[in-house]
Amino acid sequence: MRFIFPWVLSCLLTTSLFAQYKTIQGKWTKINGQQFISASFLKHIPKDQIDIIQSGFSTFTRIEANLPKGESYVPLHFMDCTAIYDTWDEFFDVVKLSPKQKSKKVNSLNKYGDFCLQYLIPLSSAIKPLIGTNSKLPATVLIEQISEKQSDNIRNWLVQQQSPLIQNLFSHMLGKFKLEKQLKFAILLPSSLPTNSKKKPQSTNIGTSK
Amino acid sequence: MERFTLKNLSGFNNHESFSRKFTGVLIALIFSLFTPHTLNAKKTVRIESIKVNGSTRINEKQIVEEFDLYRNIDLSQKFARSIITRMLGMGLFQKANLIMKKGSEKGKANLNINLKDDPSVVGDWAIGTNLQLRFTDTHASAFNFEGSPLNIKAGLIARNAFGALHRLGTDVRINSDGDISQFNLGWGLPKFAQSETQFDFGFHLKRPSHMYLDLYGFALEAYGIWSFVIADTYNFRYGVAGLANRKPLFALPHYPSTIVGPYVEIGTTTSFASFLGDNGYNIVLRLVPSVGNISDSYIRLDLDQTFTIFDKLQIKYGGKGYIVGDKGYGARFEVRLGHPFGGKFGKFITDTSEIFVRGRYGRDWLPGDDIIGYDGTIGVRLFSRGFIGELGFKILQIPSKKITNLFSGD
Repeated sequence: MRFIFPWVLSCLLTTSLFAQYKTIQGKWTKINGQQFISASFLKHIPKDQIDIIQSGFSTFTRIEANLPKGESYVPLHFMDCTAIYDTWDEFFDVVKLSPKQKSKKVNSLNKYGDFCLQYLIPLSSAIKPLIGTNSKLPATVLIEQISEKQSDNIRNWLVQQQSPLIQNLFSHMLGKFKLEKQLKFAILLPSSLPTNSKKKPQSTNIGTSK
Repeated sequence: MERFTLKNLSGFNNHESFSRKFTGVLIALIFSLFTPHTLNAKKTVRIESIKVNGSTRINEKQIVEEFDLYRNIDLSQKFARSIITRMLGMGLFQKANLIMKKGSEKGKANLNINLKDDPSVVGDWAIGTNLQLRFTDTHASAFNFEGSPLNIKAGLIARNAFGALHRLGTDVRINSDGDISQFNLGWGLPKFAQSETQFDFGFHLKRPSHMYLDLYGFALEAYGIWSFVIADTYNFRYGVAGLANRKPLFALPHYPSTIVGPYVEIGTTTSFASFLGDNGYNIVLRLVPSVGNISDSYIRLDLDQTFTIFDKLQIKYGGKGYIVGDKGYGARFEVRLGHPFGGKFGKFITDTSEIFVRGRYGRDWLPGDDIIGYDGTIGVRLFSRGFIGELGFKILQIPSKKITNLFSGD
């Protein structure tokens, strides 16, 4: 009986932590003859974040996934985009920030999602052993109207406003100054290798490499 | 096979902050390099209406006054970003987004300002409260204090006092005998952003017999100061100051009874004074030339640094040194170790907590008799929903020497 309570507690804690991570099913996609695992995040972005994307002001998005290695994770590439939505003519002016900078105009949210909110993972030697093991890769999506540099500036403003006469004005702020909201996901890897890639998968770098 | 584990999730979070630090600079650079050229950043849109959502801490009228964001203004991307930055720089909001909706014709839009209140303070006034219970006395025995070491301090801050963007901070400390040993009041006019000069008024009262180590030459201090930032780095403050010692309860011996004069302060600070503190340093130099008697003029230098070791153990050390003309001089030193613990436990009350150990030493070099005092405290601090609770216990308090009738001959 005494073992049941810790077990139940452990299950509850684990469940509540997993609940923070919405699972996205990874799917095989073939681009220019190479196999990628594709994860599309658009349908899982909350309305308030979609409103930011369609705000009419420049918006910055970053998607980053992580690969399990031992008991921790190593980062895969990240994918950055900036976009401005024209509220009158209803199109997105989109720029993908990568060594090969790509820009285009798209006239629907779905096409914006395909360009900026679809993460592609090449079928590398590190990924291949995980296929079919029900593995999940933790991933984060950041959607913001301000850059990280501006966040740092805001922190500095608050530091400079610490009047010695008004003691503890910011004493109730918790820990590190954090403005942006990161959405957390788990990319569920496909249950099997694509039929034409089982013999000799090729490693490919895409997006912005670290 | 499920590969997510609690341990792995913890590692993931650590990596997250690690990678963000190193890639942040790169991305900010890329963002600033590419964005103005590739996206139409200079394009302006005329604003037909303004609506504030998500907060009652600020209204449309205040936005017009504070941010010059009025109807029929031509809003550029750059101006929009500066508004977001300044709004977040008020310390009232956790999130600020500007959303444009289609206007009556091309080139016009309706502006929605979507805000989320900073939850670390509560209500429209953005109020935070704190209650401190300490079983420790910080006095020097020079003052013949024989009361109970139990003292209670209650405090309140408001970052949006009167709903008018005023800043307010006040606290009072009372010991178990009912004596008020400390009272602080600070009030600041609006103008919360870096680009504006801000005015603050402050009044501080400390009883040397209970708060010796918190005094820096004077038991009563009053300031009215304006402040602004030079070169994004240095805080420059100027105004008027009045410093006083009033016998018998609120006085340090041998120091002047009153000095009044202009106040000048220059300093730089990189440490953000949040609940758990922040790595960085503070250097502040203050000058109060005495108008009545220049030989009573006051100079004070504050230095401190905070750093973290073993991932979370935060160490703060520093000192304050001051000279009061030819009357005397003194110094205070402090070392503090703090370690956060706890975290969110569902709907449990505690959001985060800290255990700390603090040691202090102070000395005043005075004609005839020096005063020396030191103390040590171990305690725990808890934060939840705008409230900070603190419980402290004495671990060291060895006053220097008794000086009876200290004021009798003065």
